Amino acid sequence: MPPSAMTKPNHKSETPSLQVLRTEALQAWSTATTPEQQEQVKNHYLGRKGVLAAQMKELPGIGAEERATVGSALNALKHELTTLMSTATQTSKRLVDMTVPQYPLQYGTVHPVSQIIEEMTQIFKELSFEVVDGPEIVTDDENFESLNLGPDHPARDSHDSFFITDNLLLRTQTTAIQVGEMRRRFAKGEMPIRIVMPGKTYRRESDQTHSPMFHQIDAVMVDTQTTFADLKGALTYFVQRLFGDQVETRFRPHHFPFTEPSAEIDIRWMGEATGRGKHTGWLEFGGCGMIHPEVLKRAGINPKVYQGWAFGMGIERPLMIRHHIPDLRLLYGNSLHFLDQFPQP
Amino acid sequence: MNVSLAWLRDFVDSSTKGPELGERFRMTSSEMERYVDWSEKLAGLIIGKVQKCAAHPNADRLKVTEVSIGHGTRTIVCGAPNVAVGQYVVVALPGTALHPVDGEPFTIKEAAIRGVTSQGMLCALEEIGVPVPSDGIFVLDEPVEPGMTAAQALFENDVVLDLEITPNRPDLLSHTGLAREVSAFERRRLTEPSIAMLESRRSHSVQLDVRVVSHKECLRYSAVALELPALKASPWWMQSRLLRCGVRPINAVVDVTNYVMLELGQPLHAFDMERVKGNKLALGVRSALPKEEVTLLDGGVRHLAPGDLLIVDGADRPIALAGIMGGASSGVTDETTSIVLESATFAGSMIRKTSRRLGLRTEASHRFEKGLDPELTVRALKRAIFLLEQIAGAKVVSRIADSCIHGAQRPRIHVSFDRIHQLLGVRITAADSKQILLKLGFQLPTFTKSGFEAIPPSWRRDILIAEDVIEELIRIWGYERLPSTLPTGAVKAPQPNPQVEYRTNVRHTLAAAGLHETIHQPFCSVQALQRLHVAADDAVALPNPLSAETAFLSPTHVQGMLTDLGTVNAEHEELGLFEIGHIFTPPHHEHEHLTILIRTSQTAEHAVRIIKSLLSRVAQVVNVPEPTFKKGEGLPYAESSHTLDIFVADQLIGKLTLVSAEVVAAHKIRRGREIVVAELDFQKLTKQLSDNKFYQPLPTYPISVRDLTIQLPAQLPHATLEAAASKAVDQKLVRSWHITDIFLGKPLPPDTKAVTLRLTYNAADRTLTDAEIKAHHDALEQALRNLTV
Repeated sequence: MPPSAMTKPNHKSETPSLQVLRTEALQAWSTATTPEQQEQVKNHYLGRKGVLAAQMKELPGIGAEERATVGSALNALKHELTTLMSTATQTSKRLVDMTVPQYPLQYGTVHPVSQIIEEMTQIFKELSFEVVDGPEIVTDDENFESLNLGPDHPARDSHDSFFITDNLLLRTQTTAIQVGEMRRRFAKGEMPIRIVMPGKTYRRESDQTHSPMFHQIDAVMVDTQTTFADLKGALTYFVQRLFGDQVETRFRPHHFPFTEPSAEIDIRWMGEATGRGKHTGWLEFGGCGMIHPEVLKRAGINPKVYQGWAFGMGIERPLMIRHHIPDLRLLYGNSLHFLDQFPQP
Repeated sequence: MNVSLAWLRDFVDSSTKGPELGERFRMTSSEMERYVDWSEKLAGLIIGKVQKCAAHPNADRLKVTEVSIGHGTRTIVCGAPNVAVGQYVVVALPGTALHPVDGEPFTIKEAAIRGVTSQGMLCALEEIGVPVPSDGIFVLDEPVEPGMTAAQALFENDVVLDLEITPNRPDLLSHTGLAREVSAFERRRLTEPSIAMLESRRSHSVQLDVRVVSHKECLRYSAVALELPALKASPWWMQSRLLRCGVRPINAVVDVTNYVMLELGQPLHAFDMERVKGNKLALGVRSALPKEEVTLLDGGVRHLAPGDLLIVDGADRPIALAGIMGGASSGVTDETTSIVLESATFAGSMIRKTSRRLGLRTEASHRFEKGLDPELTVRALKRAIFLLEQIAGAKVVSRIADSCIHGAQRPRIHVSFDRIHQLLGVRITAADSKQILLKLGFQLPTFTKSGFEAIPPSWRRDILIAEDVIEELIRIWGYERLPSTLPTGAVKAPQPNPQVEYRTNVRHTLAAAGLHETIHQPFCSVQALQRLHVAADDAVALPNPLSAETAFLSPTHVQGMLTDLGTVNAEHEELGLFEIGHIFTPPHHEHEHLTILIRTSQTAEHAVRIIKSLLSRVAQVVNVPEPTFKKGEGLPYAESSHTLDIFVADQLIGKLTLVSAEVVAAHKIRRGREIVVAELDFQKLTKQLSDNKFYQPLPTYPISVRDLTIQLPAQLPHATLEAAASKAVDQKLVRSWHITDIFLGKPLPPDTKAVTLRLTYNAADRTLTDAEIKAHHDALEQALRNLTV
């Protein structure tokens, strides 16, 4: 945009000689392209010995009536030219390259496992659940016995454990928190119980889909009347909040010693749905069931008055599906090339 | 468990196709992992009858055969030594694709073989993908219509499902058990397998006794003796079913024991009667003596411990490891003409213990350790007798000897319809309940409008309480028919867990400050400890590590972080990392640590300043007082005398250290070698927290910011300056102050530094005059100018 276009002329009573002067000045300004030329034009018209100053000096010699008109016109012209020439001069003096590149981003990241744990616990918080955590070194009783997994229970086969002493081990499931936490809450009269328990778990296995340390999340609800239908509803809500409502759930029978009846939950993306992450066919998502009366009893809770349900799942699998991560071991390799791919939302 | 649908249909009349039936199993009891359709596997192969078989004119070892294939005959050149006229054989016509056990798939083409055109190929089992080695082609042992598909003639057009059976359902490790499930979810009639009818008062030529030392360890032990003509192979139909289920055929006796196991779920074992006879034929079950040994069928000598169960002969010599494997000296051989069949119920936990200790798992132990049905032993023997009579011409020569405890009461479980509704959130009708439970083998001695009593079948020893019965109902009735509702009930506002909330806040604060959160496997090797100069005694050793890399539990997050700095994150010279998680110390303590690591290629002081700022910010976020620092004891991986103790409200909560040059070098960190680490006990930190955040009045009078730069000896510790300044600054005039710059180098003289303090002048009660500010400024300069080391 030429500078002259930025100023709207407003010179009703301008004398013919001033009009000429103005035209000349604007033209001279528009042809001055270098800062030096512009400075020259500016001095010529606005300098102390410039054209306008000379005109001002002549004012006293004009008749009083005309002097007022010419004076105000002259002032207006001076103001116009000053504005025009000063702003333009400034801009042309400041060389700013607006095409400069951004700075390299220097932001940190929250680990993707922490991110999904926060997201999962947030969903359970929406259902009035409280977040609970516990020790990672637990007793055999906490991890197994209290959950109906006696010393010779065949289901222990799938829990190849890191024992530290005969009685202490790294927990193989976050369910190890369950009985102690229920007992504590019941004793303090904090009923009903709605708790969600994320954390690290450990098993003696390592390959592309197993890591000796991995994460699980458990949820437990105990009340005088909460049913398998509630469990189904709560988990359907959880799945849809996590992956979107284009995901369907399927409950099928399974066996867990600490729930009765027990089920496994599968999820599947419907049709061409492009949810968050994608997996073809049914995907095993987690295990659940109504808490076994013996387990409630071990927490000091009378199963004739209270009943409850429990849910547990591994965290890495849905995370890997969501972000298309091919190998579990990438998660705990902690390369910045990996971590930087998952900036915190 | 591999389930043959053809076999299953011996017991239940279901026409449901393989994959669909697999889906039904999945939704009612057992996950289907995969299935094999034998019609697809053997597609294109047909049965032919060898009509002529002549020597090849141009080759000694080849034959030229005429094979009838129903709709005509084909000339086929065959190199098998066993081909002969009258045989029913498997024919691959040109165009048929073969998938042999070994090697690449290939397609049969019509081709001239030494001048004779061969219109196909006669096949051996291995050539059609069935893993049975042989020297010749496969010959059917009974006539069939030429032209029939091989899938039909050899494998009953079978579909075999691979089902994952949960450990509580050993009854489903059998075709009859799975047929019962089908009869329940398809509401069909169940047929039992045929068993031998034994005359009860017959006298026997062989006196067979069994004795069980403890019925707690062996609930039931049954046996019978049989004589049989020369031992031969079992008929193809039996071999074929075993093969489909993944069991290798051996001979008629062994095949029958395996067949009955797959059919009824009861493992059987056959002893050679002559080899276990001794003075008297008496089998016993007892616990092993200290240091006792047994040589098993696999040739291995096993050292036993008391508690391991043994089968012994009349002379008390071990002849088998109970429930796991037979002995080498007692088994059936090619010369065997009389056998003793054993059928027992061992206590699952005993078998499991021994099997795990010896690392010996077999089909039998896999079943026994889950706890079998004692009612099954004699039935399985009678089924085996029936089959051996039929296929091997066997004759029973003893009574069925049987030692068991009687009167094991089955529970009577009361279930009310209200309880079903209360637990599931849905009503299942009385009619549905009754039908489902009866089909599953329950007895229902009482059944009223309000509920019923259920006696579980003998094979369901896992069913003890009402909830177990309700699970049976819902799994057959269908989980998919249950409504989905959200929990209701009394209001109880969830209480935030401060630990969790602050952990989250700290995580996001540090990430926003440019640090990356890491999560490491909290394991390390002894070498990793050595690199950190940490003694092995100061870490928790795992007695049963997975590998050398998991020999110890990490006593510090620094271990994983430093390893990364020398490897995956080597190129990031300016880097901040943090981790929140448990670390472990002997004997078996765990502590939740927040570890912050700053790595720089600038000065160590630069890293220290960054970490101190971060700690200050963390303190703000978790709402605890500003951390303070005192000189502290060094950590093994720290530069000596460069460790600070971190205090919050007078409580020691962690350490701030400079990682020593040797440790940095040991981790092969070549650039960005100034590494400063803060390790905080997160539990102690957050214990100090308070919820209080109260408003402080804003400044009402003008603020004046003035800098003061003074030249000081370079060696002067900052702490000295800070202490002096804190004393000299008049808090009535100065709202806050801090160091903005520390400068060393030209144009300053050597051994000096210029420190700039920025003071924010502001009084609570008046506007400060220039004179007041100048006076304070001058006094401060005076106080600081002459500080010495």
